[in-house]
This record gives sequence, structure tokens and C-alpha cells, in this order.
Amino acid sequence: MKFTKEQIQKAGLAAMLCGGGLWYYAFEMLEPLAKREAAALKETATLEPQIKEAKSKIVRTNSIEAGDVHAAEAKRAFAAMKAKIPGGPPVAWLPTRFGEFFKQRGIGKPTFRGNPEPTEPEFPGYKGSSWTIDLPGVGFAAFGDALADLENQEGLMQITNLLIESAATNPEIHHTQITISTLVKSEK
Amino acid sequence: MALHLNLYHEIHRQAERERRDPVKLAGLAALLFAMLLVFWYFYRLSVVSRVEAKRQQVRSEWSHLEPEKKAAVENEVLLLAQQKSNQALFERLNERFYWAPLLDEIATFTPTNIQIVSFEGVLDNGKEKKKTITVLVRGVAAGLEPRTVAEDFRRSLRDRLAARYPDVSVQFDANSLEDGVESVTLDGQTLGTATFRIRAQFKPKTAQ
Repeated sequence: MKFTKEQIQKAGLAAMLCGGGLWYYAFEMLEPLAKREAAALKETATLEPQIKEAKSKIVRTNSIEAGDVHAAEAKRAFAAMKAKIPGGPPVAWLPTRFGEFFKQRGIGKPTFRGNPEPTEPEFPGYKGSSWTIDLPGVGFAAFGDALADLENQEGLMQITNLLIESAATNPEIHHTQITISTLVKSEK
Repeated sequence: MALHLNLYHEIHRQAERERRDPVKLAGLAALLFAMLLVFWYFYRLSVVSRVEAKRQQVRSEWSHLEPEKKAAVENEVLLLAQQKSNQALFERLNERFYWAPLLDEIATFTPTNIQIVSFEGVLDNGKEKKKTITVLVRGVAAGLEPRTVAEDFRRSLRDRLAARYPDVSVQFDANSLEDGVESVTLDGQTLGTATFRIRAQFKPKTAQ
């Protein structure tokens, strides 16, 4: 079979058209699709772990709130602290308050000395305060009763040091000293 | 055998030639190929559309979750701090050491032939959950054998404390148990004395 020149020209032209068409199909139609697909897959693959992490983070945060077994009691205690602890520096109210307490129980003339701030866990709006209270010339029974009342009344207070010494001249009279650690409002 | 004449053989040959025309066959093949390509294109288009729809859904979910996550991260810090504060406050309120019951206990069981001269108590907060109470008792014991009286008092103190508190240790301080130079009169009897210094250590009970 022999092709005429015209047929060969037509075949060449057809081949060129087919080649062009294939090029257009591959690079102008399929390749953009592949690029779109790759971009979508990449973004999805990036976002999916972030979504998973975000969900677990949200669940974890919610579980912290739900798992705080002391939240209700602490809320009440913080409210009580707010009402009970006066504002201002403790030197302005603490000696007066505790002095009055001992005076009401027949223990007069206590002296107060402020100590360096004790390290306390962080309570927002509050800080630790330590004081040494000297109670000279106290009978043991009166001091014991006062101590029990003090420990029951001042829920936030902890006695960290306690010293009871008999007087050399009269063993029934004691010199007592207590060091207390309590919470006061911070002045921030 | 019947004679068969095909008067249309020219027409048939022409038709056969046309049927086998390579240009026509090539055209048909090209058309088929083009249809396959079109089908493939639309198939790929549908796949890509599905992938893009999924991306859109993920984007939308992320746009909702991202602010929630940011808030959760900020809240987590606050909530953890709050939880720590709550726990510390709970412990402060519920795990205090009360000195009055200890004084009451010692005052109650101290016998008449023991005089406590000084009592010093120290609460060592130590590290987390390791509070220790140290009590230093100085006193004078009186009796026919005052050292034995002092030892009995130490044992009695140890037993009393052990009944109330964990990890109790009650010891005389080194070289602190000594014969006293003075004698005392108790219930009409003149008795010798011994001075002592007892160091007691124990852990406070967590629930008072």
C-alpha cells in the first residue's frame, strides 16, 4: 500500500494535532487536577492531627475542671477568707485582732514580732505572713484553753513554733511564745 | 453445481475497501481513545472533588476548633493553677496540726513526780507531705531512782504519742539525763532528782 503525498501530509497533520491534544490533556487538564488533589490532601493531612490534638486538649481541659474534687470547698473557703481577712498590711490589723483575742481570755500584754514572709503555695490574691507572739506570765491552763480556741477559730492559721517555759521564780507561771503562719491579702 | 454470478462484486469490493480504510479505522481508534481520555478526566475530576470536599469539611471543623483550642490552652494554665491553689488550701485547712490536744495529752499523763520545765514544739513543713513535729521537753524527775522515773516518763510519752501519731521516735538527747544536785520533798518523802531533755519526733496525722 502506497500513500500519496497528500495522505502523508494529512497523517502528519493528524499526528501533530493528536500530539498537541495529548500535551494539552496531560499538562493543562490532568496536571492541574493532580496539583489540586495534592494540595487538598496535604492540607487535610496537616489539619487532621491538629484537629485530633485540639479535641484532646479541649477534653483534657474540661476534665481538669471536672476533676477538681476540692473546687467547691475551696470556693467556699476563699469566699470566707475574703470576708474574714481585712485588707491592708497585716501589721495594721493582725496584732490588734490577736491581742484582743488573748485579752478576752485574760492573757494581757502580748507582744508581736513580724517574721520574714513564709513560702506558701500560691493563693491568688493572698500571701503568707508569719508572726511571733510573746505571752509573758501565763498560767498553763489559761494558755491551753486559749490555744485550743485560737486553733479552732483561726482556720487558716498554723502554729509552727510553740515554746512554754516555766518562770524560774514561780513554776506555775510560764513564758510562752508561739510563732504562727497565716494568710493575708496581698497588696498587689 | 449451480453457477453463481456476483454482479455486485465491484460494489462489494468497494465497500470492503471502505470498511478496511486505515484512515477511517485510525479515526475510530482516535475517537475511542479520546472518549477514554474524557472518561478518565471526569473520573479524576470526581476524585479530586471528593478530596476537596473533605478538605473543606476539615477546614470548617478546624475553624470552629481553633478558637476553642486556644481558649482551652489558656484555661488549662489557669485551671491547673486554680486546682493547685484549691489543693493547697484544702490541705492547709484539713491537714493542720493542732497543738492543743498534744498539750492536753502531755499535761494529763505527766505524773506528779515529773516537772516539765520547758516545752518546745516545732512544726517542720519540710517538703511536700513530709511535715514533722519535733518536741523538746526539758524537765526534772523525782524519785528514789529518779533516772528510772525519767525513763518511765520517756516510755510513757512514746506510747501515748504512738497511739495518736505515726512514725514516733522519743529519745533522750545525748547526755541529757543527769542526776540533779537538788533533792525535793514529795508526799513527805525526800527524793533525789534527775534532769532530762527528751526529744520526740513524729508525723502529724493528716485528718485531725
